Amino acid sequence: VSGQDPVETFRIEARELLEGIEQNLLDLSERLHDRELIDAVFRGLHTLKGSGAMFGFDALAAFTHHCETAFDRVRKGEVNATPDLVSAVLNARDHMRALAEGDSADDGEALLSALHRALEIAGGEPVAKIEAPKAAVWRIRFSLPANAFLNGVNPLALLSELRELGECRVIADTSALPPLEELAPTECHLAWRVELTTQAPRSAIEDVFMFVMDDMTLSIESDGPSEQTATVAAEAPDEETAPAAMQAAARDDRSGGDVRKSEQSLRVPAERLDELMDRVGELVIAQSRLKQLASASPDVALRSVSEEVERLASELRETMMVVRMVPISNLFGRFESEHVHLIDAVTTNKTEFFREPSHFDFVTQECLPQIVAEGQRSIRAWSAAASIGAEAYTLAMVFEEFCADHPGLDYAILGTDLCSEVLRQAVKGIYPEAMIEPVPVALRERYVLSGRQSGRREVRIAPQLRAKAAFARLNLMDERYPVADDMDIIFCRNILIYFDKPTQAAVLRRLCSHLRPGGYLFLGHSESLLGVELPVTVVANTVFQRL
Amino acid sequence: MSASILTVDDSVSIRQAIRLTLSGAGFKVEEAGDGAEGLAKAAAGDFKLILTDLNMPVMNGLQMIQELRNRRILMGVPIVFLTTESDAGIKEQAKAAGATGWLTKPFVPEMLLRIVNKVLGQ
Repeated sequence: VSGQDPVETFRIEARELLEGIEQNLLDLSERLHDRELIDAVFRGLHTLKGSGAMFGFDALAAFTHHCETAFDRVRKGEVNATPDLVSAVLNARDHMRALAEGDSADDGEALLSALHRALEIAGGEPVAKIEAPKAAVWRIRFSLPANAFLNGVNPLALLSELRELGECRVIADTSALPPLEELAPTECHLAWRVELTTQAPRSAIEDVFMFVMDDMTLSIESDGPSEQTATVAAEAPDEETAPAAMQAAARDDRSGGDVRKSEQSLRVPAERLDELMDRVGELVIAQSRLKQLASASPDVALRSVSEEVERLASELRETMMVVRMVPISNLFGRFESEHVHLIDAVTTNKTEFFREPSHFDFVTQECLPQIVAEGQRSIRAWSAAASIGAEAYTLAMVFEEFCADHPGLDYAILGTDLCSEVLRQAVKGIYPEAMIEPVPVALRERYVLSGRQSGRREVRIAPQLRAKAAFARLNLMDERYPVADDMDIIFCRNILIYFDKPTQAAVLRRLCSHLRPGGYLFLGHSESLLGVELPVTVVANTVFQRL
Repeated sequence: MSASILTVDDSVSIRQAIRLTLSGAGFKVEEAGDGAEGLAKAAAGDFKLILTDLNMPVMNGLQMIQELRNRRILMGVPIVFLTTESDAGIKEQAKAAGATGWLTKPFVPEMLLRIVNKVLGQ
């Protein structure tokens, strides 16, 4: 998608949406009470309006809004789906199509007044309830074992399966999250409370949890088919086994407290999301104008900025697309995007840039001058437990500073890690702003770009630094490393402690074999070479030089 | 880009059945004939899901699952094992080793796809 003109992509999407709306309306005219069709028409109109606004089709968005509102009222049972109403929207489809293609002069006023007339009549009749089959409200609470993530269980998948059963209100219970410094990012500390309205039987809900049923905390209770009442009667046969936080939450429920409301504060109001979509739409359009100007210009710097903006805009658009796909009735979609932020916020540590600063002083004061003295033209460094790239980019800043004073000197950095997910983050080089606090201000000004994405302060490592760092997946336990054997500097910090003694020895030996004679190995402060015989000499605390 | 799935089974016909079903659904499928080969391929590749038999020569499925999880290869990637109803107790063992879910043999293509989509959250 990203390679195409987004406006053209929208047009294609709009055609498909309109076809779907048309088909559903035709079917609906024969089955006026069909709940699914009513919902489908509403969703189609809603998506059309939202995307239209996003890509600058304001007239389309405004017009479609009226049709959407009409079907929202039908959906809520405020008015009936009458043949007149259905055909009023059907008649409006060609107008919407024309607006999407960008070739309508008419304001569609006649169509709108027909729609409003039909709506009045539909509402004036005694409102016969749409025959929705009786749905029950289920209260589901669950938490997963701590090792769930490691064992491949994806709670978001469980939640989306629940959503397929019916309308869900999902509340993540974060109260069992330990403080940041004690948090193991691979462990699952969240619990969820879900209010599911569905016709599906209990067994269908249990089926969602079939693979995790035995090791998790799960309670499924029905409030019966009516609107749920405030009481949480006869809860808790498993309350003893539930985490303390869940019990506290349950008590708050019983006292009718507002705890749920406050937990929901993570949700983004629909209008704010729409505003954001509008801004993204404007950005994309402005960016394509910039691209046109830049491509006609001989200015290389302008082109490179334009490319950068293009990439950022396209990433932002894709993020918004994902959020936008979620039906409005489904607030969890927005919740989820916050939730993802929560997760990556907790996995990124404030101390990762310039961690153990004395190592980087040593690099500047000892390693680099020696490399220059030996007449080398380039520095090669390897960050062997790169994680999300903070160490590699710290080295990049240090090298960049040094190279600025030594014309003709260049550098390259390799970052490797076992986990491809963190490597993807490393390649992007985007971090929460708080993470770069340890970076000296002067360096920050030169090598870190600030920005704001979805309301969160973020920074990005400057492109010239990112261009010098390459990231690849590598398992230190493998017997061979596909890495050059003449590295000047290897950082392998705070990973050896996770290995047993024989493995530590093997990894250290292999790392040394990738250092050139005179090259440096940096280990974490809690790590040592104790007992392992290596062809190195100690030159500083946890810094070793290859003989 | 379509997601890659690694299928580990000593039976060529089972592997073939799995490959046909999954590639028909748009997944890329790679095969391994025993646990050791599965482990090696998993360590070298980027898979979204591993489907494995338990009863295999060289290295059985349980050992492979244990190795994958202990060595944090493809960390957090779901592992689904194939089992028969008569294998009482094996589910607990495989789950303790770090498996995510299971698929009961014999299975029809729809069932395989349902389980794959379930663990992948699609």
